[in-house]
Amino acid sequence: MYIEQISVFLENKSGRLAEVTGILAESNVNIRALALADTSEFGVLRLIVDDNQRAISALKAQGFAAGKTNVVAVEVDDRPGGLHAILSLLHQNRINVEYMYAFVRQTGQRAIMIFRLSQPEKAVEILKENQIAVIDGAEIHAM
Amino acid sequence: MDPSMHNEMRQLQLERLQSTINRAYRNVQFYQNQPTRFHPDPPVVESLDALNELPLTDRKQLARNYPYGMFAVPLRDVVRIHTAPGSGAHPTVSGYTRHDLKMWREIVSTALTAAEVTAHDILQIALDPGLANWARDYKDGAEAIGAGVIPNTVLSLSKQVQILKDYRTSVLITTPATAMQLAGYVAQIGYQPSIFSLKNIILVGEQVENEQRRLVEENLQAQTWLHYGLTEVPGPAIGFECEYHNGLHVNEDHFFPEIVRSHQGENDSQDAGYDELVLTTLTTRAFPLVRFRTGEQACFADELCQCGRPLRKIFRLSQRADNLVSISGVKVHRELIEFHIVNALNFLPRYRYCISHGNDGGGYLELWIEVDETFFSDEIKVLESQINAIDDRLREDLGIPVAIRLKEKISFK
Repeated sequence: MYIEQISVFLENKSGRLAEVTGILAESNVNIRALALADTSEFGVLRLIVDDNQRAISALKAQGFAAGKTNVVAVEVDDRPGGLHAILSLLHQNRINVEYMYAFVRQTGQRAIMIFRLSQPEKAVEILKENQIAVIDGAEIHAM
Repeated sequence: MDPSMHNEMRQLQLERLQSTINRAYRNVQFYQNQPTRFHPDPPVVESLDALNELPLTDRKQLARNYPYGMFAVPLRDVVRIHTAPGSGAHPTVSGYTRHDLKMWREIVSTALTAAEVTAHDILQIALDPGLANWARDYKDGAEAIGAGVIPNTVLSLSKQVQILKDYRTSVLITTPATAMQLAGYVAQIGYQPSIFSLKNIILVGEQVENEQRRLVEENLQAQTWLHYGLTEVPGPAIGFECEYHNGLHVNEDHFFPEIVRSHQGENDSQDAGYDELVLTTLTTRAFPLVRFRTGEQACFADELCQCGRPLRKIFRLSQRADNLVSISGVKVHRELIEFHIVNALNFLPRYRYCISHGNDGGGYLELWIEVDETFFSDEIKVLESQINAIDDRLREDLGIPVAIRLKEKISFK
């Protein structure tokens, strides 16, 4: 029920991000979604790609520190309050959102939110109980 | 210089040396276990030259005898205990008897008197928290002379300058780094040096370039005097400049200096070695040190000084002989940095450190840490909490500012 996200450590200086996208392009890896968190000194790039293994080994070979994390991808109704419904559900169940980002599917009326959650197992259970569509890995990587 | 004075000094030193060695080898297990040809009896040192038969003592050995292992008197005779950053897990602890404190007042006041400090002076002490022990010793020594002392407090640059001006400070004791900051600040805000009453600045804790020294003297319109001391043990003003400002007189009534050819590497034959200052305490009772390796590269002046003091002079050479860096006078050991990294992270990543200077000229320890697979997290807060853990520990232990930067592998090439 989880999606595997890869994340990469970057120093906050020009050209580092382009270096990563270059390596992925050369390895023929397609980026589905990405989010960059930054501080004054460094950043962490989080990516959903079509081939995690290829992406990770290419990045590591070039000296990047990269890791894999399980995140939860949820379909959100494209209407006012669509995201709020999910967040308030998580809040009521005392699940903390460490970070989140969005991407839009080319077809369809729905956006996809990627969540990094404090208790992913419990979260998935609750989301499903409430008829919220949790997308599985195979589906998203193949998009 | 009267040669009889010189001979008198050597006689005094020999007597004091013999009693120090007796005290150390009888009362301190570490020295008792040292392999000398007199073992198990205390060594008999019949001349000052014979001292070089005895083994050297280094900082690691002090650390292994934490906390009271190097004390030569029962704790009930100790009236003050000082802590200084050590070379690893433990700080270096030194103790003082009532008599020791009296001796330290004498050592410090001898050095201050050479810098023309008198009872008419207002003396301000501005040292980083990492040099708090020295600040206390300077306060005691200056009070013994009768100077009006403004004790050490951690203040901003502008507050230090305000006190310097308003309290009509005539003597300032500080590090070269802080003196440079003050000189820069005063020039920047456009104060004329004439608004200060400053006459003498005593520079302690680290080496100073001639150029920096001239700049400080010009901007603050005062004479500068260099002092040399040990931060771990036992204190400041072991060496001091006289009115000729050419080399550091060693307070030889209280310390016996040697310059010893030392080797850093494991394999001595491949290593040219360096000349290291080695000190033996002559009057300390609670914490006698026999042939302590200071890590300082130095050489003796060839001749005695024109000032007539029967105290030999040393010149400090620029490079340190060991892997210590000095930040605002605080000595930072590689082992100590490693210790705190490992403690915070539970492993030792690749790292590198150096001294950096901020916009205000203040020195700080800059530590680079490589983010590798073990260290990495996809969460910023996890990375930051690891930085903070190391940062807190180093700051607390060293009392100096620290900046930790997470770096990619490529930055280490």
